[in-house]
Amino acid sequence: MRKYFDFFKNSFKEQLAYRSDILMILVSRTFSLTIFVYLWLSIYSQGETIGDYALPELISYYIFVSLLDVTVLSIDVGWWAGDDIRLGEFTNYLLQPISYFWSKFSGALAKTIFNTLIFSTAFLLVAVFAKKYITLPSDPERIFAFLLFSALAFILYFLFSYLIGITAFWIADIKGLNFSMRTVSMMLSGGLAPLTIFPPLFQKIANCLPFKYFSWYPVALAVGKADFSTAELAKAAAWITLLGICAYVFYSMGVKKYEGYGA
Amino acid sequence: MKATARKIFRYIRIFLKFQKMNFFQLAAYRPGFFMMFGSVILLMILHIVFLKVVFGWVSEVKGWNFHEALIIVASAMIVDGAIWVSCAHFRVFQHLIRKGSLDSLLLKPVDSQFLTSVSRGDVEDFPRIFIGLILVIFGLTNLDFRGWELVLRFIEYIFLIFNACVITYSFSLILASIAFWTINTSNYALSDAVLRASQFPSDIFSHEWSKTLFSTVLPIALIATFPAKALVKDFDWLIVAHSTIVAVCFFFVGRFFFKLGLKKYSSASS
Repeated sequence: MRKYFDFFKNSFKEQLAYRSDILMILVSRTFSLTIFVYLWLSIYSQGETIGDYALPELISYYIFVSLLDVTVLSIDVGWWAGDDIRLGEFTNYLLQPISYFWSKFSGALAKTIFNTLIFSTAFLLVAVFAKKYITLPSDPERIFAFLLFSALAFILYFLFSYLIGITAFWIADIKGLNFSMRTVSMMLSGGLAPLTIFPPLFQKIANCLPFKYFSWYPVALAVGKADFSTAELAKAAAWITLLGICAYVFYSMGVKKYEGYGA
Repeated sequence: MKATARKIFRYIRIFLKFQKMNFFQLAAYRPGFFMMFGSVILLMILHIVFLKVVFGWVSEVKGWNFHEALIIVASAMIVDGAIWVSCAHFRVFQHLIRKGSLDSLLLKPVDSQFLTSVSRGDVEDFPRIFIGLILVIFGLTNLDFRGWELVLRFIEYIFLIFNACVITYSFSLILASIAFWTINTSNYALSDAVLRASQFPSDIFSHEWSKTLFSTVLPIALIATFPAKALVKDFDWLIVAHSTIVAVCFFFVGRFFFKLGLKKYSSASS
């Protein structure tokens, strides 16, 4: 356990070392958010509405999505794992008495906690100054549900990204696959727009997949567009179990295939 | 004159050589290359889906209907694609600064900015240009422009797209050059955000200050809305003049920033 705590500490320190990266991400996210706010403001000023969303709800939706995007969904473990395997650095992990999975998990967790501390502060500041446009969850149950599903989103996203990363055992360069899956997940997770404003068929597909737990469901809980349901909790847990088993099986198979050539 | 022409041809040859090398490098990982190719197409589809969803709820956004807005999205795709295909490297050269390995490019007897910019081009991003062009043609077939008017508008459009490429390149170069001082690697995030934002009609900016800001310092409007406006809205030479002045300014400021940053480069890995 202690060795993984060291991974955690190192990862946290690494984030601290490159503070300007955080600043740049903060600036670019705020900028993107501002553009979306302008887009929806201009649409609503024409007297139109998008789905059953009032303007403050829609703006809040984007703010929460951005928050999740820079915190629990910000760590691209797939990229790390893909590079480790393709460049042969994975050999170092094989030669040491450590679990590759848990070392990556500790690193991702540290970065996520660091980002959460920084970006949540910025988020709260925005929430204070733009009270008029933001709907914040007020009852403790809703806040708890949001936090719980955000934590699940982190685990789910980690497993999903890790699975993509370890496909490098077979296809060496996973950049294309990683980029494709990120695009698909952005579309189906509600990262682009609330899932309920998409056509019914699209919503049905999204409901059958785990992506909606990345953004849509936690954010819908926060802005009051969905209620906490134990069925959803069970489904998210089932997806985590399934992806966890897949990660274990594929990793075991991949290690046997690994040649350590450092392509 | 002859010497200048020779120099230009030399740079074109270098550029083509790099493109060839990049293609061979990508072809070495064929599954990865094709997946990257597919993922770029997916991303383009994502942009169109988003537009379709928005226009599923509204008939127009600030005077732009679906087909006109499609031309804005397509223009942003073309500019983005042109930059990725020709000079993808300058967006990520911060990684070389962090590793201290930019030296290999600086020591060559060629202009450093040119070499840093074109030493990597992502061939897999070509679908951005291709799909963008198809969408422009599709958008135009649904609008009422024919004959010489269309030809003139198209020439103006091409010119504005060229300016947009210069502006996008220079803006990203300025951001990337910040890494000479800060050694960070996330500057591309802002240039990506600016490009993504350019896919929306700049008329959504209702405040006067935001209109000015986004057509000068943060040139979102000039990347896709201005070219699309020239093609489907009012034919206005002022747009061309505005875009050209901003493009020239951005080019020289970008070059100045890069040169200034180079002086700071210590080659030390951190």
